[in-house]
Amino acid sequence: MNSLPISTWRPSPCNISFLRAAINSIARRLNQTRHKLRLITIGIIKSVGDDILSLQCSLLWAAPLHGHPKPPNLSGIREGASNANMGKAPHRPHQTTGHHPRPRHRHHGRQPHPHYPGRGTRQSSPAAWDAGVRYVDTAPFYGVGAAEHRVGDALRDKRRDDCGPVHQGRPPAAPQNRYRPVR
Amino acid sequence: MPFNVIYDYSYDGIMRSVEDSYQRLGLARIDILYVHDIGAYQHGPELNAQHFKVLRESGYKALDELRRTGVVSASASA
Repeated sequence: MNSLPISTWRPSPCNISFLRAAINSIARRLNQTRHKLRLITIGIIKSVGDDILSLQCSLLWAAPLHGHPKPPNLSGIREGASNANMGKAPHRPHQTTGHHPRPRHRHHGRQPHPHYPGRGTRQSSPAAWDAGVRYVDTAPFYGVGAAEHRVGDALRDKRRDDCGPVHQGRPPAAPQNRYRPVR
Repeated sequence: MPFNVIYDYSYDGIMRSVEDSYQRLGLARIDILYVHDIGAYQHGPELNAQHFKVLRESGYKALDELRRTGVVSASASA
């Protein structure tokens, strides 16, 4: 596989905003060096609302775009990821009514149930998808079955052929949409 | 979820595992199937030798069959 492992981190516990910031930070850096994030491994053991209580590990792979085999400069990636929300009271909707305590947007008045399983993966996966991730590693071991349900939910309506599989030896397709941060 | 973790690298174990994963994922295609956590680091040298024997003599047939019939696009060990 024409790719290289770029980062292994174990933020545990962490939350969705940390994960999103980390993915955005890495994708932005890779975009500067004309690399594309291709694989992300997320093993979420347990999540409650936005808080991932235990994230088993994340292994990110980047493939150089065609004609740019220069390895990316990845120094400072950890510093780029904001972890500012850790330890603060979460912007979490009311447990039974679903009303948001501090709506920051007029559509935030009502949100999904905070304990609805899989909400975290469904919220974080578009960030990974928009950053160009097309391979998601999951396993029966991750969450003892729960991770596969969530990965399936996140990928079911996606066209996974968009980028073309790297293992067929084709050069990665030219980026259709340049990296764009996900809020 | 309320399951127990059992290491089973046999033909039947791998076939069952892939089928169950397809059920849980609800996706039409799995690109890469990994044989995971096999090694002395995970199991210790003695148990790993047993597991590796099972994989070599039984489980590998499942990997080969799944790849040839297109159930998965590729298989690897990690």
